[in-house]
Amino acid sequence: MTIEKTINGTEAVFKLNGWLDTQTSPQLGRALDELDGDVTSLVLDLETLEYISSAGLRQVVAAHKKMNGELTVINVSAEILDVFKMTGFDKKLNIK
Amino acid sequence: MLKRNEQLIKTKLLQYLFPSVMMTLALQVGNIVDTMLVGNILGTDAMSAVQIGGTILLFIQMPGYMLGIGGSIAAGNLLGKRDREGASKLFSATIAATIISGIVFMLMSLFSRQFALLLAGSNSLTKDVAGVIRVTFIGAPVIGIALQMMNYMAVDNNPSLATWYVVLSNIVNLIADYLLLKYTPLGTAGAVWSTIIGYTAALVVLIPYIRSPKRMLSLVNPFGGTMGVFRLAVITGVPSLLSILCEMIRNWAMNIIIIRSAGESAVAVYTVCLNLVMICELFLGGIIGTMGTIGGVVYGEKDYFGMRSLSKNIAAYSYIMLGVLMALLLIFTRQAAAMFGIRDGELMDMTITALRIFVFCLPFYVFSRFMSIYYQTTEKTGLSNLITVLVYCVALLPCAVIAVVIAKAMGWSCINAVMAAFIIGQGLTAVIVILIVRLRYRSDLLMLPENDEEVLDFSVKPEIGEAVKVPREIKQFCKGRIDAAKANQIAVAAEEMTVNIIKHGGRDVQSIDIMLCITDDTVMLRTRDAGIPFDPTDYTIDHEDFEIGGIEVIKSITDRIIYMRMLDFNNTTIEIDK
Repeated sequence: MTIEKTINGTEAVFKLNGWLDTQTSPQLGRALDELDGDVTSLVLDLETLEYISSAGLRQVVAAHKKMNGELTVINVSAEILDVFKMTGFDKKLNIK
Repeated sequence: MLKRNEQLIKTKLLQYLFPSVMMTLALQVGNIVDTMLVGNILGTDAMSAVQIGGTILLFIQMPGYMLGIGGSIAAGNLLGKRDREGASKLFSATIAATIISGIVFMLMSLFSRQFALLLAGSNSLTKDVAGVIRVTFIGAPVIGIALQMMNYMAVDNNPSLATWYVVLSNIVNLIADYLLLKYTPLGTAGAVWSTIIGYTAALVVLIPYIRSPKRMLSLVNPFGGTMGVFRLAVITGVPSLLSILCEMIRNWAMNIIIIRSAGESAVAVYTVCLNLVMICELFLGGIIGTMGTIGGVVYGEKDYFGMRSLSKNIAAYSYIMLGVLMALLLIFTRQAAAMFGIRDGELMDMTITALRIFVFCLPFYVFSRFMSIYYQTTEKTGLSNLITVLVYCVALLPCAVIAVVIAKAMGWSCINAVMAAFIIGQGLTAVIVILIVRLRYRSDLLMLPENDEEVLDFSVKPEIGEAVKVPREIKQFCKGRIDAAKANQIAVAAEEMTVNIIKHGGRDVQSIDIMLCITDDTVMLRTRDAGIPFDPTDYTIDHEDFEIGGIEVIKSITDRIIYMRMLDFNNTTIEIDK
């Protein structure tokens, strides 16, 4: 998996490519840890994300908590949206 | 592409092999040492009386064997199909039936003399034979329950307790044997009393079984809607019943053939040969018996790769062991005969020659034993019954009669002719079975069906790097077969299950078997591992925060989760409706 990071002042955009699974999810964790304290909102662009496991979902939750709820998930594929819906994440996350 | 490996099946075979061999070893050692003690303490006439009276022991063992072996195989099949309730009903109904039949047998002890006359005729052995028969009938309920519980404990995740039951019962049996034969006037009946005392004392092993957390079978009302499953146990057990019945007929007919053609002393030679089959059974029976215990569950799960692997390994171990046993018997023939109280002289010479001929029927004997229990396990009871009837009676007895007639006409030894008949009869059985399977069913000997459904079957090592290959393999397989969203769900669930096993399964997880099966209505994923028992259906969500755990994800995205601890494996099935 690769993460394309864009930071505009207080807003960061992470574009995730590939598979967010047990092996690759720590990458997202590290990217979150590396975020500057000035960043107050995060956008996860999942347009090219093919797969998400529970380890990946846990990193999304971590991002949501770190940003105090200021997390937006965009360009979610039907398959991944399905997982978000079945786990109830769609009600707790701001998905566009 | 990931492939299925044999590791879990091989590990399980090795895990069950030792208890199974120990179980058979203890069971047969009891019989053999019983015979040896009787031969050495009471003499060869008494040994012949026990051999003749032993026909009744086989008779009362019928329900125990039929319902114990048949019931445990059928219960294994039901557990493999995730029907725990059905397996418990079957368990309860067969226990009740054995107790009832045991009581009926006890009442038959009133007619011991009549049975003795029927089996031995009126001669010097009749009184001893009647004594053996009387005590055998009295002990019927205990013997029946013992045979059943050994098999049920083995199939119900407690193979070591089953072994302990047999070991303990035989230790007590042998001690009692020596004391009763040497220091009491009970005579041959003492040998049977000690068997019953042994089986009764070993019932103490049932306490840890009842308390075992791995136990899947439980007692339910044996008379409430159990007829269907009881019938299943009976049908599955028929080959075992038939085997005892045919063995009885064979022994009865052979005793007559041998007494009439070679004289009463030749019965002792025949008895030694049969006891040497029992010595082979010490090891071979235990190895082959693992087919019933493990194979029942594996076949119930439709794991045909596992069945092939199991069969191949059991056959290999059996023939290696047989090679060693045959070499030992051919080298130490005299010593083997002497163990049964045969002294030097004409009887010893007769026994040595007969034994050396008899040994060559053993490769065919192993084939028949293996195929019979294999077909019984894979629900082809007709073929299993055919082998039993052929090997004990239909192929053997005519061969024996013809051999004796030819021997008499040519002036050859009749007992040697009978031994040669064993080789021809058992060989003929193998040829007939192979021809039937090849020509009538146009199949290989294992006759495993092709899976109707679309199946993906593979194994992974317990490493995260392997676990993440699982969803990829599944999504690849599902492409074009099912809806992409469903494929994604089952792939996510498969990764979670695998990671969960790796993280929490413990050191015993050496490999994880994964099977994906797509049917008309459902997508079914089965994982199997040898880790510490973990039932995901017991897992409860204990936090209200915005959090998610692996098992919660599985529960959220699947329609059903079924868990069974079988063969001391975690077997978890996850289903998603299509």
